[in-house]
Amino acid sequence: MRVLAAALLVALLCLLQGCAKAEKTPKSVVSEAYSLLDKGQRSKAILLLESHLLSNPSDDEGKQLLASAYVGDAGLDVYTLHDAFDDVLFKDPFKDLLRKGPGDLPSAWKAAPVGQTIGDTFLWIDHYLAIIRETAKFLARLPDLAESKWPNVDRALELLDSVERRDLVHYRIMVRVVYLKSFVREKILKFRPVTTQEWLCTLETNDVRDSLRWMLGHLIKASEDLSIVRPSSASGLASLYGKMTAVDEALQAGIGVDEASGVRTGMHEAERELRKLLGCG
Amino acid sequence: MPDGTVCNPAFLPEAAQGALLIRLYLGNGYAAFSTAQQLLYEPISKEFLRSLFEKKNVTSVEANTGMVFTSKYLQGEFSPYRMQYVSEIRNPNYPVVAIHAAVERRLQFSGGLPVEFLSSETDSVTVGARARLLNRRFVHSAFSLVQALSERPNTLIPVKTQTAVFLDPFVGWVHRSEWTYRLSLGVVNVGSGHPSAAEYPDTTDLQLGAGLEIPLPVGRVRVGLDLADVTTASSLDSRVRLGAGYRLANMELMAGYNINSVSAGVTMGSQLIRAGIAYEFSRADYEGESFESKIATELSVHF
Repeated sequence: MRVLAAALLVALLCLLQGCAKAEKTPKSVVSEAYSLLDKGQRSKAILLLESHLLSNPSDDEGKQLLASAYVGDAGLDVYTLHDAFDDVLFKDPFKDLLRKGPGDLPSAWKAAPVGQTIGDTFLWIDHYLAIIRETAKFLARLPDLAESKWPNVDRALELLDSVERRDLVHYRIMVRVVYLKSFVREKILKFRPVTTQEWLCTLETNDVRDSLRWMLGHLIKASEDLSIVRPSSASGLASLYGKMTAVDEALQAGIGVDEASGVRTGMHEAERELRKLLGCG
Repeated sequence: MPDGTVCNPAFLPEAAQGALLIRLYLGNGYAAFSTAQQLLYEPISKEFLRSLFEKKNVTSVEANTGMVFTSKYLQGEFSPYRMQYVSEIRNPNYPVVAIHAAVERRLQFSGGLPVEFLSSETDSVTVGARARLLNRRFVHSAFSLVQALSERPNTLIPVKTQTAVFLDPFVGWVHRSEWTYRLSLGVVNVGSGHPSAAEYPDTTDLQLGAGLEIPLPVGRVRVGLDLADVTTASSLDSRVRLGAGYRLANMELMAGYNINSVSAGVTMGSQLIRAGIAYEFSRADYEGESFESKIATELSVHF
């Protein structure tokens, strides 16, 4: 009798507590992922969230968490990103530099390739060198991404691009710019004396085109994001976006494929002619 | 003591004598005190928001001061300042901070009367009611580090105010024998706040209490159980508040449990002045799974 009473009591408590074994809900998976990330267990969080997103592909919070885990795993610290981007994105020190014309020249001269006098030309060159200097100083502050971690960042950007949340737009821009800087450093500038004959002779134009198209793709997306966070700059960015898209289309058109060999002919032909011209061995 | 005794207006006739009590309560983490004050009363800058992300993962502080007058059938309480602050930072890869800071002023009147025709020598039935007038100023928000830099502070952490009036009627039953048994049933939060705020649902609901007082050869033990939010809570666990206390002369040891925390404390003192210290081990208040420990001190002066 006592055993029966005890069993009934346990059953009643279970009913009240809902202690029937429940499957993990999406909210509990996300909560568990937060806990893992708080403890620094990014790899486990990544596995958990990748599995979760297979069955919940529209979970924006899960995507954002997973993207942040990948970015963190790639070695990018968001506090470092913030400090590097703080004045550029949020205080806009380039604004005055870009708005003013060089020296006393009217702003119309900014677009002019050559001034009326040599003095004007030097002013124009000096103005744009200042822009390049500021840009280089800014880029030097950015962290570097190891090439082995680039697939992480690709996946992170894929996830971030699929989430329409305004607070993630700045984050996307920052990650993209760091990625671009690292790509240029590793793929174009590293170990290569750029513009020398040696560099030109070893240049694979198809690779250059592919790299340029990759960079343009990211620059186009970054400009789209910038126009969201800086609507006041939308017209200027739209013009820049148009030019980049045109260049990308031109590069795309440079691809001609020989159906028999599968070789891309357009850039390949240009490369052959260039090497012949330079007398490459 | 969660047998619905201490704060239950139906048990006011149980009060042995009148008293005037001035109370000061301060939890640790008072370094966050200035942060809470700035959030609620001063303009907020982006640099200040940035600094919120440099604090510990979980930060909380609570402070309370008040004056209570109690007599056999009436009680009045004025608490000019009750402050709560909690902040929690999640995911260091993309930090998001959740913040709740609130200052509340409260004026409260309670009254209780025995129901003679239902009472006997050993059993007494009492009824009581408590009226509360509250004024709150609070912020309740969650945002990321990137948002803290790119959006206006006053849109991220808007300050809200609310005035609320509530009535809590109770009925109590006490049975005195070798042990003393107590039961109470009441309705809480009859009333409303204006403007309404999702952060303070203050839902009208039932509250049940049960208590037991056992005299020992040395001292007395009290055990109590409250079931709060009887109809609206999501689980039995979240309804339960357990408490126990052992009193010996001017010293009392206490322990408490609810779904969010476990606490223990001791109060000592004379009839005039009592001091207490409590240690609380609690879950992070903001849907987190991290735990933190707090120490709070209370000083009260009895007249």
